[in-house]
Amino acid sequence: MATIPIPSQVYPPGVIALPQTPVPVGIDRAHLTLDAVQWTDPQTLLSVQLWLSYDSGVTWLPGGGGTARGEPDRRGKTGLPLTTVAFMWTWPEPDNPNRRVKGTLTLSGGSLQTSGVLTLE
Amino acid sequence: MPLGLGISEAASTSAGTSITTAGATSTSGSAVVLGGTWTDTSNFTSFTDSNTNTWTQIQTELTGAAHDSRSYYAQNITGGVGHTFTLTINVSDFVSIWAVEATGAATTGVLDQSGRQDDVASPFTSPAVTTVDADEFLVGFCLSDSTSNPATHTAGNSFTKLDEIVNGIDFWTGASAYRIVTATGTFNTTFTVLGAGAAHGWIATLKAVPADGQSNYGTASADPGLHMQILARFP
Repeated sequence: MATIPIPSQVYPPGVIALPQTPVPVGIDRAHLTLDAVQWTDPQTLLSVQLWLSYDSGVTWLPGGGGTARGEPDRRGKTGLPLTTVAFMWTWPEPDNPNRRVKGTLTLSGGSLQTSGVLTLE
Repeated sequence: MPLGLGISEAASTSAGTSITTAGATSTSGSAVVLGGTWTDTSNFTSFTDSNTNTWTQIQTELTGAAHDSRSYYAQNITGGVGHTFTLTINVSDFVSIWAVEATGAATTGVLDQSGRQDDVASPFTSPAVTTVDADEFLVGFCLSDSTSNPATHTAGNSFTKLDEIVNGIDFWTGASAYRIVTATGTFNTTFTVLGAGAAHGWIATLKAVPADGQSNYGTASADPGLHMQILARFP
């Protein structure tokens, strides 16, 4: 397992870069969790894009993506308040020792108070 | 080219408006089946892919007590490196997607049989379908309401499990599976899922490229006279 932290702060519109990180052998999925307690503005759009390299960073391919809005009052599957926003992607080639991951979180339409972690499982 | 498994992917979000799989290298000319589920208070918007293939719905939307699901397929796809698949809904909610590629599938009329049902008793099954051709690629999805983590899925009926989403706390759980058959028969999917009270069982069967060479009919011949002979023999 490996983790890439996203520090807690108010992020203005723009791009938050997730640094290039080696993907340990055996990892077959990634799990991004973001704290959404302070999300209040549905006009704020969040676009997540991960990139995977299978050749130690020479070339990069899509590693998973998703979009969310900065709206409040989220509910979980059981109807209880939801304090996080999460994304999960399965990844190929778990035995490849040359995999790398990097990514971007792009904010538009407003700022966002958040923190989070990308966990490679 | 015999039937074979190509790429398979899965992805999910707990509060997103869209989710896109990681990219993988698909094969042009093959077929891809997508399965997706989302909270029933949301509405489906679209399945799309990064190569702008044409997607055709399998059956109709299946509505459950808590989650809904759909399945689509594309035949004779434009494939390539970094091929991704996206499911979009109308609001921020729980969304999960699975993709399964069948190589060696027919490039036209690939979908043979299909079925889906909301099963509320384990093991969770799809309806049984009877295939028309001997050589077919069977795709199954089990899309469940488990709130366990891990919500482990076990596929039965000789299906091989592919990608599963097991975190039932953060996501809609589920799994994809496939089976290649070489004789006609009646088939359904069956899964056990840890912690699930209901699951949507989907099955789609895909035909292989015809072995009799019909897919090559109409291609240029080295001997134009050959076509004349065929037309004369079968007016």
